[in-house]
Amino acid sequence: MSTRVSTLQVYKFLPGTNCKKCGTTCMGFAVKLIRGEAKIEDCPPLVSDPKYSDKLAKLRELLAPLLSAAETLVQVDPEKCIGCGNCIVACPENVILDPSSARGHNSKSPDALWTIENGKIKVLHIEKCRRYPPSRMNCNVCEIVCFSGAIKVVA
Amino acid sequence: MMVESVVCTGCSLLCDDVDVELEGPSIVKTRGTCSHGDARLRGLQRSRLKEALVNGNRVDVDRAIEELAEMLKSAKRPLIYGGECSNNATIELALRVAEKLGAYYDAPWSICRALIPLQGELRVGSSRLEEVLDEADFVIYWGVSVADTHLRHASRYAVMPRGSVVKMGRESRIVASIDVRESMSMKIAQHKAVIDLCSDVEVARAIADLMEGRAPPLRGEVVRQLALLVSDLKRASFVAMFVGSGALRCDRGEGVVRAILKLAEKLSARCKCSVHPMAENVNSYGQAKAMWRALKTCSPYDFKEKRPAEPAQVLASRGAVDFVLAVNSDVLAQIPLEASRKLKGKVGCTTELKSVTQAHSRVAIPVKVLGVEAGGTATRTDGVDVELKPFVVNREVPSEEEVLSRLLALI
Repeated sequence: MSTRVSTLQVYKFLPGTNCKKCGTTCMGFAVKLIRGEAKIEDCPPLVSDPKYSDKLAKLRELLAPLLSAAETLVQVDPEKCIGCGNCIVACPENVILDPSSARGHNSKSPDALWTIENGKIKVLHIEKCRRYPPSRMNCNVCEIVCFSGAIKVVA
Repeated sequence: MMVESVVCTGCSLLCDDVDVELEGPSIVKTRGTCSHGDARLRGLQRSRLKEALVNGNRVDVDRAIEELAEMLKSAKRPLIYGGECSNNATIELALRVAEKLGAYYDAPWSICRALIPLQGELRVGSSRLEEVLDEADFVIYWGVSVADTHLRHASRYAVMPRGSVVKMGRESRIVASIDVRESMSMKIAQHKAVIDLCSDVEVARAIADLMEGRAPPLRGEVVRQLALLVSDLKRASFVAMFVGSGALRCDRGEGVVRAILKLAEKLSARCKCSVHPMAENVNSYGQAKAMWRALKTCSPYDFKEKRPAEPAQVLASRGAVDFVLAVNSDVLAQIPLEASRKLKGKVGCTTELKSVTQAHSRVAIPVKVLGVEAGGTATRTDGVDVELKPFVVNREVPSEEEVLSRLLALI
């Protein structure tokens, strides 16, 4: 089962009145929340009206994993990593940055997206991930091939 | 100091693209190793045996070798055990020591020892892992979870990398995993067949039947999974099968391997097909190959009677051996407790690291660490001999080859 946070899940905990006090509709606001382009506090009714307090609490709980993720919404937990290197070799962007990884080797280039050090993954340049703005490609190959669940795409 | 492209001896993949950073003799950083390789390389100094011990007392290595030779000579029915964590030259020497003493010889049972003799008999080929990387478009893991054992297998060779024929890497390959549980490595498999315990023979026959359009002998959900697997298998041009020791975990171990090889034989008529054992220890393949070459059997061997013998745990439990030389192998941890109790006070060992066997040995001789301080060749899990490149100089302890050569001369 997917653990990714969806726009509709977020929308469910918004007022749903489309008051546009945040500058957009509630659905648009849900998209912005997931992308990290808006904060919960940007929705005045949600934070000030007591009748939404339940929704507010649930929304904060839902979005908590996103706050700890990088801007790519990729969460990497080195503690869980077993150093298999699947992500290094499968990641299309990493292969472009260090072509030797296309043939199954660990990336050695300092410009690579990530590398394996001391048997664990080490993120070098997460900003080069193609999920990063402005490309925002919906790629999750690293999550698909990760044996141990150390890599998670949270939204 | 950074040392590049060393050979990792963490498992039988013998990855040769690993970098290590040294501070004196200690490895302080590794690059490109999996967590198993890293644990071996960086954890070495914590668990080294640094001095030779005779009955728990520190002695010099020369004296320890002499004592060990005396014990071996005075034993009526000695057992030489191990070689799976030693280089190929040491394994040859261990066999010669056993021959000279008229001893039993055995090592941990492994998929290589089950597969190598049958592979010759059934004429099923094995390819180099580099060929698998370049060409294999259908990969089968049978009774092995590479996410638990050979961590870089999928990323380095079999699934993820882009080859000269399978240019898109994992997108150009189909992966099937057959196991008795939903293993961690099934995550990367398109076909996941969770089969009943000890039903491997029936599953192999079912795949062969489905390939030929016949109804398989099995029933239930597994048949639906296998039918989907076979529909993709029929389109494959190079099938690489990796068989792990899970295939041996029932009474019909050899029958399972034979059934898998027969399936491979049938597949070979349609496409290129190779079968690879997933060697459990760093040089399990070399150990099995040396036995096969020297004895034409991979079964435990009795050099006195010149015939296959019972396994070490059976010999030990019925008191048939009166001294065991463990060749860098933790025999007391590997055999059942009841059998190991019978060996109390009857063990000597060569060892890189502290172990249960070393702690209970009358003579324990420290040796250089394979691949770090000692060189030679080890055999990769696809049967290719890999030259190890030692990168730490240690003059305090001898190499295992040296110890066994001297033992051979003394006995």
